[in-house]
Amino acid sequence: MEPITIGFIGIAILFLVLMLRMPIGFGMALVGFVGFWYLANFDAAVSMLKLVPFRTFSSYDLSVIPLFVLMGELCYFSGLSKSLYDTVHHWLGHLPGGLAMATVGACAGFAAISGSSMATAATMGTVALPEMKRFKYDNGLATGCVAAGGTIGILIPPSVIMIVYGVITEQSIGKLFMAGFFPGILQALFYMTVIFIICKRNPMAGPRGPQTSLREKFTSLRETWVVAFLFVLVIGGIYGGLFSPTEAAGVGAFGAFVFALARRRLTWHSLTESLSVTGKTTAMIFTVILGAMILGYFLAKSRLPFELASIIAALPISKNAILALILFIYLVLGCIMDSMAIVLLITPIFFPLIQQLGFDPILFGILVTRVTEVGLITPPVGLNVYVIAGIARDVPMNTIFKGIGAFLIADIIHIVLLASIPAISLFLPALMHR
Amino acid sequence: MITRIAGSINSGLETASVVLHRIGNVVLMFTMLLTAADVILRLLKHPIMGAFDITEYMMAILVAFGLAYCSIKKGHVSVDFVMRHLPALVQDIIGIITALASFILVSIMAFWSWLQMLTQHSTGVTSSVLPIPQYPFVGAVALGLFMLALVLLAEVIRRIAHTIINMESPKKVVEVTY
Repeated sequence: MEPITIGFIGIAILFLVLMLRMPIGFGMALVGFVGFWYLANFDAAVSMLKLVPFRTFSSYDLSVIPLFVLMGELCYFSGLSKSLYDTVHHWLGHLPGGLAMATVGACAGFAAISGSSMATAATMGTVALPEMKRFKYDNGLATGCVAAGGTIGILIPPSVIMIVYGVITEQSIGKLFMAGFFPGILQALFYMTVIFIICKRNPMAGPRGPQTSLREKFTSLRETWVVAFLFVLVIGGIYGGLFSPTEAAGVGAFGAFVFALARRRLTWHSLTESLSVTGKTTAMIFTVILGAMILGYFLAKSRLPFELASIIAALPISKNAILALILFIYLVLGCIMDSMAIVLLITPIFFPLIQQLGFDPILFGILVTRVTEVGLITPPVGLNVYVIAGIARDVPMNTIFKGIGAFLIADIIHIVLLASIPAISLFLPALMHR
Repeated sequence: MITRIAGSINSGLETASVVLHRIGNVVLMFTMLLTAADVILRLLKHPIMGAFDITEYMMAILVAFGLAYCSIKKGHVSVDFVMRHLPALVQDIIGIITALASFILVSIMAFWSWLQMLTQHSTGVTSSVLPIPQYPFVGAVALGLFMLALVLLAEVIRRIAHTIINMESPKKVVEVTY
């Protein structure tokens, strides 16, 4: 059999294995190892297997992940997310649907210090849902805006998905971070517009909150300036070439640690919890990355990505249609699988094609990140929805999915806009230090 | 009987996994402080020699020592939406097979990482800036993988026990926990 046929069979078996609930990282490693063994020989497969775990776990580029996760956890455990919500609440709460807008705004703010959508949704869900319930917000709008708002977490830097994409495609993580900034802000504005329209049509869906004085508004900033400070420190440092992403993550985590300590918000328990959650999350992420690395050897040996690129590039359809098709595949997989796993699993397959078609790899990274995140709020496996359902136990899952509907329309428009106007993403990286 | 054996193995494994995990947490804290100190001192023209190498080694410990704990806490991500529609017995049997496959795979990785450590010990591979030997950190990865393999083996035993009990009393579905 041709190696490419083995490659296709391997991918088919992989999907079967994953559907049988095998942990994604182990599934990819298993198929990668057996496939590589079949195409090469046992000795070569074993040589690969004894090198890859240490190389993957000790990768300096990937060390940025635990440090950024730690920064987010320290901020969370020191109560910064609550302060953030209170601040945006003070500024926007009096508008129709203001609490929902405040939730989206706070999600965008938390995204600036956290690299995960689910963490953002979970954090903001805990803080914002009881408040919206108090003001008798429509359940669909309340839960929908938190679940959708959480997905902003991954587009506004720092972002774990972008780090993973950057490492496997050898693209600058700094440039990817910069490229995600405006699309993330735009996404938040889109969501706020959706909320505004819903509440204009049905004012009972999101009643106005209390009016606050200008003095109260500015006083509320006292607790949250640190978010802006950390964001400017971390992202500004990368943008200005002052430090690498890993160094930025270390400095950011240290900054969050010092802040929490100085404001007496860091207890022994919150510190150990932050470290523990980070350690566990890191192990989870690296297991998937390890699996993807081993699978990558098999895919390279089968030449599947390169042959596939040649075949698809020769098809008589426009390159934009091919891009749309690829993004659609990401979207469909995003509905059933973890977004990082999808990026690790199929990006190596399609990336040579994207390069061959002449698309900007940074733009593709942003589109992939954005599209896979939509899967977090779509059935059947909308992880953010499960997170929110776990917090708002009295709201049926169907109500949450219905509430998300309007945000999904905004998502589609947003993705089309990002693909049609690359400058939205590429404007900032183009200005970076050379 | 099998449940009791699995229970005592599991509690021992949990303790060992938590110990490794806590070591990993200390390493994480150290890495954060090291990275921040390196950046600050570099601005003062005194960067920490070999911070890059040390970070890489610390990462190896952090990740490897968290693997078993993550598995015990069911932290590894998987796709659930097909399996949950299958009959309980089919789910149980498939669960045993996938856990067994994971155990075999991780055991192979642990074994070959261990051999790699022995090779590096004899050849004397060191890091690039500071001549720190690499083999203890490859050994840490082997240890982390070995612990994960044991946790997966315990999972296989737990699943077999669970399946046998439920087959003996199919009307009363029991979840075996410790």
